[in-house]
Amino acid sequence: MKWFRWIWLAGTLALLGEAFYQAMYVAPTEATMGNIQRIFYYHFASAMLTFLFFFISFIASIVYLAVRHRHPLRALNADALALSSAEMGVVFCTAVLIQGPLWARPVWGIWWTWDARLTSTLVMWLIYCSYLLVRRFAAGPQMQTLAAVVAIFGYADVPIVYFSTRWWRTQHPSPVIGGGPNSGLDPSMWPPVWWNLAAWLAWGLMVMAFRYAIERQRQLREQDEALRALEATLEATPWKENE
Amino acid sequence: MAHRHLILAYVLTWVLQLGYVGFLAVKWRNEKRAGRALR
Repeated sequence: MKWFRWIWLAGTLALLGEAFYQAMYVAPTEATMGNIQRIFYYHFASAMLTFLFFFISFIASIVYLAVRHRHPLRALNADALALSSAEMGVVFCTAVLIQGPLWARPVWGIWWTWDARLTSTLVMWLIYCSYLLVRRFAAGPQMQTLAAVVAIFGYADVPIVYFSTRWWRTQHPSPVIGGGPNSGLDPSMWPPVWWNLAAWLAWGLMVMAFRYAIERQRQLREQDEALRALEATLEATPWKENE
Repeated sequence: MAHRHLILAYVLTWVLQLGYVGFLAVKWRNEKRAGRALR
C-alpha cells in the first residue's frame, strides 16, 4: 500500500499545480473586479470542502454513538474518522475566513461585515473549534460521546451557512450554483473551479487519512497501556486459592 | 492593493495547509516514539 500513498501524493501535487495554473492564467479576468476575483477559485473550493469534511464528521459521530456499545472497536474507527475530518474541516474553514476578508477589502472597501453568510460561517468555525477543544481538554471515558454530540448538534449550522445567501439578503455574492437569474459563473470560469475542487479534495483526503492514521495509532497505544496496567495490577494482587 | 491581497490569500492558504501538515508530522513522530517506548 505504500506505493499507493506515493502515487496519491504525486497525483495531488500535479492536480494542485494544474489548478493553480488554471486559476491564475487560464481563467478570464473578471470584468468589474479584475484579478482579485481569482481568490474565488481557492475560496470556493475551501468552502465546499469545509462542508464536505464537517458532513463526514457528522456521519462518523452518528455511527460512533450508534455502535459504541455493540461494537466498541468499530466505534473507535468512527471516532478517529470524526476527529480527523473535523480537524480538516476547521483548516479549510480557517482558509475561507482568511481568503474572504482579503477579497472583501479591495472589492467592498471593508474587511468584514456582520451579514448572515459571514456571521454564520464564523459561528460554524467557533462551533468546530469548541469541538476540538472538548476533545483536547475533556477528561474521562465520556469525552468521545460528548464530542460526538457536539459534532452532531454543531452540524445544524452547516445548512444555515449554505442557505444563508438564499434565505437572507446578504452583502456576500449570490450563490454560484442554483442562485437563480443574474447569478452564477461565466462558462469559461468553470474549468478552473473544477480543477481547484478536485485538487483540494485530493489534498484534503490525503491529509485527513494521515490524521486518521495518527489517531488510530494513539488509540491502539492507549489500549496497550491500559492492558499492561491491568496485567501489572493482576500480577501484584495476592491471590488466595480457597477464599 | 488588489494584487497584494491576491498573492497574500494564496500564500496564506498554503502556509495554513502546510503548517497543519507540519503539526501532524510532529504529532506522528511523537506517537511513534511513545509507541516504541512502550515496547
